[in-house]
Order: sequence, then structure tokens, then C-alpha cells
Amino acid sequence: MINMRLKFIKGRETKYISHLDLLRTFQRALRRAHIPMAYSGGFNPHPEMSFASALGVGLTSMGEYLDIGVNEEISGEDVIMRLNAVLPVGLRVENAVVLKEKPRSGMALVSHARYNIYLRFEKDIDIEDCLRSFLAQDNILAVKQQPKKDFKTIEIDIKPMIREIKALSQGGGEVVLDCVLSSGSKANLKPELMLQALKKQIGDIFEDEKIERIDLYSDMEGELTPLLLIDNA
Amino acid sequence: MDLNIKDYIYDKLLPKVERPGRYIGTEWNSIHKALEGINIRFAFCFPDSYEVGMSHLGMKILYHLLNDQKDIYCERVFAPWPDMESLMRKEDIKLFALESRDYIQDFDFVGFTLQYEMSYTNIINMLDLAGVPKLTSQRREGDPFVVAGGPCAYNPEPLSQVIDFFMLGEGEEQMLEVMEVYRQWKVKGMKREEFLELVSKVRGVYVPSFYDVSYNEDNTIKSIMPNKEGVPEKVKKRVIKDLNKAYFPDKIIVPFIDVVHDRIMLEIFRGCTRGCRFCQAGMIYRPVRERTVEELFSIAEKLVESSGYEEISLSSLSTGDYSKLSELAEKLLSEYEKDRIGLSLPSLRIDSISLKLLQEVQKVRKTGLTFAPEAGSQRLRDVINKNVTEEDLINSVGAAFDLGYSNVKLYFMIGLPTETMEDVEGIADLGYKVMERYYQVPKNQRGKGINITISTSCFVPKPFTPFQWEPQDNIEAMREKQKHLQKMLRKKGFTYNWHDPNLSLLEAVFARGDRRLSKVLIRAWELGCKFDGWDEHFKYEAWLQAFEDCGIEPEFYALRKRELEEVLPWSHIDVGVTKKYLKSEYRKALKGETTRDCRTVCTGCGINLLEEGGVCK
Repeated sequence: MINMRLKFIKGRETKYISHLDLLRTFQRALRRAHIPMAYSGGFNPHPEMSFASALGVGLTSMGEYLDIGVNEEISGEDVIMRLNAVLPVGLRVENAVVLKEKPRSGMALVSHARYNIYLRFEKDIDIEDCLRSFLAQDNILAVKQQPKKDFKTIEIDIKPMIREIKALSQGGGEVVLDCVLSSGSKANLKPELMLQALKKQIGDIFEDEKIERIDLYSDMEGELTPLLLIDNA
Repeated sequence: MDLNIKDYIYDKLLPKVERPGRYIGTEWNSIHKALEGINIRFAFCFPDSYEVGMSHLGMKILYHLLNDQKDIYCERVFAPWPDMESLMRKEDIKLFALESRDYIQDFDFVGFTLQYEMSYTNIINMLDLAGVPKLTSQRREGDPFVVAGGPCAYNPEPLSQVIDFFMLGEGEEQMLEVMEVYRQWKVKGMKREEFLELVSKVRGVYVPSFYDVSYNEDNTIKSIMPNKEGVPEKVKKRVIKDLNKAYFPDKIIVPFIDVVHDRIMLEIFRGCTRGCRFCQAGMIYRPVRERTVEELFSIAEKLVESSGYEEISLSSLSTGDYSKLSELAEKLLSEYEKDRIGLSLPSLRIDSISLKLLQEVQKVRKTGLTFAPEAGSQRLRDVINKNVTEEDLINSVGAAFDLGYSNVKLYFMIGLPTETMEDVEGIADLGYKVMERYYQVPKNQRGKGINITISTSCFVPKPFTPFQWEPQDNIEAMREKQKHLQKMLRKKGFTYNWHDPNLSLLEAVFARGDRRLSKVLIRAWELGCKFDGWDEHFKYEAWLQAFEDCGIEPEFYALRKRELEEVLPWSHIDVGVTKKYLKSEYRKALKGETTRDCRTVCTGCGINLLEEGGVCK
């Protein structure tokens, strides 16, 4: 089996498609594209494919990753061209690379995600100042629901999961926050939870207009590396 | 429409609803057209949820048939789920078509497919939500024409005040003829009424306002007569003579979200020759017409290529009756095995031959098998002409158990004509005999964990069946039968399911209802009835209130035995199968005489006289 990693865009038209539905959508698109998929063994064989990370419903993304296994050599360019011809509007493969043998899975690699969060404030504020005081807290507490525990709530400190937040632009009450948050199996911070904590600190004075994931990274000895660049052949 | 409303719906409303994927409209193979050059806009409405509607083959066919016409833009509309509906009402957003998100009140046609009676309140609700006047009589120049087709259109009367015209029978040819009449009418800038007159000349089109119904003192119908010159006294349904030449799309929409039937549906034939007397589909879809293996293979090829689906399901009323089933199955299997495309065979009468085929098809999965003896005693099975014996059933179930199956479902009806408690007990007895057969398989050879599911639905007499004159069993009697079976089947290894008789009563009312029921429908809707087919939304009390408010007794329609000579509400509709044949079948039923499968010898149902030159093979 040859492993490949695809980086794709999940746009506005597909932002409401859940993780499971997206998997099925890709399975069918891969069939239409005649990508020579490898199949798992066992009683119920399924095509070898997995996403690096689940994206929240309603979010768009410029950097999602899908790992696939194929059983014939096929170039990245070919995969891009063939898939994009048969993907529904709102999904687009940006890049595809062949991985080295026995690569680490995207899912295992991902440690951080970058988001751009588009906020609209009721009035002009000094966002830099807000962020400084927000990040200067000893603990940044947020209340999280636990779906697996009957939606019981728990208060957690999210500060260790915020790697970076900065304001990209400001004007007319609109602010774009560029942030890097923990993502993956070890620690995971949803941008919505971060916003909840921010509201607690500076008041309920903004609406989030749009949240877009920009890319997924792996922490390689302190250096954040985009998944696309790891374990390439 | 203001562009911002479309964005508002998409970006602001959808995050607040359950399963926003229902309302996206950009699924693979969905059709989006620029409005330039579009002459006719058609809203194809399915009066139920997206998941149910997207599983319907007829809609897939007609959607692409219409969109293949350059100047027609056909879009889909489903009943918004109540959470979406309440948001729409709160924010004053009208019912929109999925593809363009334009309001359907501005379309030329709003067309509903009538698949089951209990979706009727959703039609009223959708019209209201769309801002289209609910009654035919309230619609004015510039309003869309509200049309309907589908199996329930064969008794169109309960919806006759709501629907401007019905299209009876198979739509592949008729739909385009209606569109052509509309083009001509539109060019000439004629009046609304004039279009209805023109379209009533298309064969299979029924315009209810062109017919007057008069009543006898006992509330039965005295006569149904055209009130306009040139309108046919009897409206004949449409049939496609040669299915191999009929339109079939080479692509189908692939939904993002999970729907009920999410696979390629390959329609292998239409009609059924078995002649089960309770079965409306078996009568109204006659005659039997098969697609050839070559044609089916070519359709499958195109659909596999364009959809990417991983499963093909053979679709028909009785899969095992397809004359070249093994040839077709083998051909599809050998072609698609390497691509790991599965084949499923629903509606298959299980016997040793079909089991062998199933084994080949479903190589690994030993999922449950379904059998439909329909009645518990041989006497009653003869009455309904279900030509299956106890021996047949035990042999087939036994063959399945021998192969390691341990999960079987048995479907029955209660409340069938002439049924006694003895027949009902026969259902449980049959269950126990099936259980016994399972234990005859040596322990080390049989599948583990026997589970026999017995389901009983409540019989609903339907128009155009030999039982159309029969009363439905009353609710108390059906409950008593259900309780009795519950008691008898309280044993490990059995699961007993039953249908709500209240819902079945309403089905019986609307299945054989007349024009006077339109107002009940509107009243029920006013009282909050919608999604009646969904347990969690069904409001029986509100329905009873609606009948009372309108001074109409549901029992008159559901529980009354009709005289053979009574003018039935659908007597001006001709489905090909004659009243004479239905009467003779009814008489035979009451005597417990069976009728042969008409593949072996013509039983003279009349369908062959529907079209010049005959339609049966």
C-alpha cells in the first residue's frame, strides 16, 4: 500500500457537513475519480482513509487533511486533478503528496491548529489591550460540556492550550483573530471555547461572524510544522 | 428576492437547526441553472423530511427529466423539519427551493408527490409556509399552479380543493406534454382558467374543479359529472408502454447526509402479477413491464460512474419475479465485485432458489431475512390471495436456518376481511413453528441467538383493490387482537411490533375519502397536525377535533361497508383494472377461492385494454 496525504479546503458550501458525512462524501468522490484505493482486511473491508482532525460543524477550513492508501502508484498531481473534477462545490483538494513507507498518521501527528476568527464588535475597542489582559491571567477558565458524560459541565483552564493569539486587522468594529490552539488527541481546544473565555474577560460585546481553520501542525521538537511537510517520500 | 435573505438563511439560520445538511442544496449532481433563458420554474415538493424524500426514485427521475429541458428549472423542496419551520415563521422567511433558495411562491409550478395519505397535512403546511393560497378557489392569476401525482393521486378527491390538477399514472411522457401545453399558454398570455382547460385535454390529467359531485341523502355519492364541455368523463391513467425506451437519468443526486435509501436504485420492472387482493400497488401499477438485462446494465454503468455509490439495489414490487434475475445479478456481480460495489435484493420472496442467490450476493453479511405471509391461517391467506402455504414458509425459513441465519422477520396484517381470533392466533402459532424449525438445526450448526420479529400492521382497505368495498376493522377490535398476540408472543426469542390503529384509521379515511374531506384536512392543520406519519408528531386528539368541527364522521369512511353498486369517490378515474374484475375478485375472496398469478394465464383484469394494441406481454 502506498500512503498519500491530501490537503483540502472545506468551504462555505460544505461547512455544515459533519465528520461522518464528509467521510462518506470523500469515499464516493474517490470512487468517481477512480483513485485505486487500498482496502482494509477483515469481514467488512473499507477503503483506507482517515482525516487528521474533525472540524466543527459550521466552520470552514483552508487546511484539512485526508490520508489515503492506494494500491497503485499515482502522482499527487493526478489525484488533485481527478478528485477536483468530481468533488461537490465547497470541497477542493489543494495538494497531494506521496508519503514515505510506514508514515505516521495525520491523526497521530496533529498537535495544533491555526484559526482565523472574524469578530464584529459593538463599538471600537483596543483589541491588543484586550488580548494582553486576557493572556496575562494566571488561569483562563472556561466551562466545557462533556457530551460523553450526559453533557455535564466542567470548568477547565485553557491557558496551556493557547499557543498564540494576535489581532490581524482592525477597523469599523471588525477584528480578525489569528490564533494557534492545541488540537488533537492529547489536548484539544475548540475556538468557540476560547471565545467563551474571552467574553467572560472582556464582556459580551462581540459576535463571531466566521471561524476558519487555516492549517494543522505537528509539534516537531518545539517547531510547528504543517502536516503536509511531514513524512513525505 | 433579496440576495441577503439567501445568505441570512444559509449563514444565520442553518447553524441553529438540527441537521443543517438537509437544507444545503448543493449535493453532487444537483442542478443549478442561471435564470437567463428559463421559461418554467418547477418546485418539486416532497411532503416529508429530506431523508425520506431523497430516498424516492420517482422524484429522482422527474427532477432530471425536467432539468434536461433547457428552458425548465426544476428544484427540490422538502417539508422543513419543525425546528426549521418555527425559525422560518419567526423570521418571516417563506418556503424556498433548495437549489436557488428562491421563494417557491414565485414559481410556475408547485408539484407534490403523493406517496402516502398521512403526508397530506404537510402539503397544507408547505403551501402556507410558501405563501401560496391553500385552496384552488383562492388562487389568482400569477399564482403558481399547484399540481400532484403519485400513487395516492388515484383517489385525488380528499385533496381536490387544494390541488389545481392531478397527473395520473406514470409521468415520464405526460410531464413533458403538460410542460409543452404550458409553454404555448404562456406565450399567448392567456388566463389561468384557460390553462386548466387546455391541460385537461392531456391524457391522465384530472382537473377536479371541472367535475361536480352530488350526494344522496345518506351521504353517499350520487354522481360525479364533468361540468365543462370536452372534459373526459373518465380520466385514464398513463402508462409507459416500453420501459426500455422510457427516460431514465444517467445521474442521480448523492446526498451529503445519511438518507433512508442511500444507494443506486435500479428499477428492474414495474407492476406485479401476483394479484394479492389487499395490495393497491399490485393493481395500480399494472401491467408488468420489465427492463431488459442489457438496458439495466447500461443504466447501472452510467449511475455507478456518475454517483460513486458503493451499492446497487434492485427495485421492484417483487424482485424474485424478474424473469432474468440470476442472469442480471450474476452480470452485475461479476462486473462490480472488483470495484467492491455491493448488490442488494429487497422485496425478494425467500425460497430455496432465491436463498442461493442471496448467499452469492451477500457473501459475508448474514443480516436478517424478511418473510411476509401477511395472514396467520391458510384460510385467510386464500382470502387475500397470498399464495404462500405454511409448508412454503417453514421450508424457506428452514433453509435459511440451515445456512446459519438466526434473525428473521415475519410481516402480517391484522383486521383483514373475514378475520377471526382464530386467524390471529394463527400468527403466533406460525411464529412458534418457525421457532421449532430453528431448534431442529443441530446446535453446532445453527446461528446463535434466535430472534423472530413478528410485526403486524393494521389493514387499510384501498381504492382499486378487491377490498375497496370492505369496512376497516374498528380500533377496539384491533387493539384486542394486538393484546392477544402480545400475550401469546411473550417468550424469549420473539419480538412483537404493532402499528398504532389510530393512525391506520386516518389512513383508511383518506385512502377512500371524498371531496368533503379537504376541509377536515385544513382544520386538522389549523389545529397543529403535520408530520402525521411520525409518532412524535401525530396528534390523534386534534384529528378527532377536526372531524367534529367539520361535522364529518371518520367512521363513515373507514368503517362502513359499501354496496357494490355505490358510486365510489374515485369512480371517474380509470386505472385500467376494471370494476368488474375487482368485484369478481372480491366475491372469490369471500369464498376463499384463490386466483392464479397472471403470468401463467391472463386473469382478465382489464389492463390490457387500457392502451390500443394492449400493454401486457
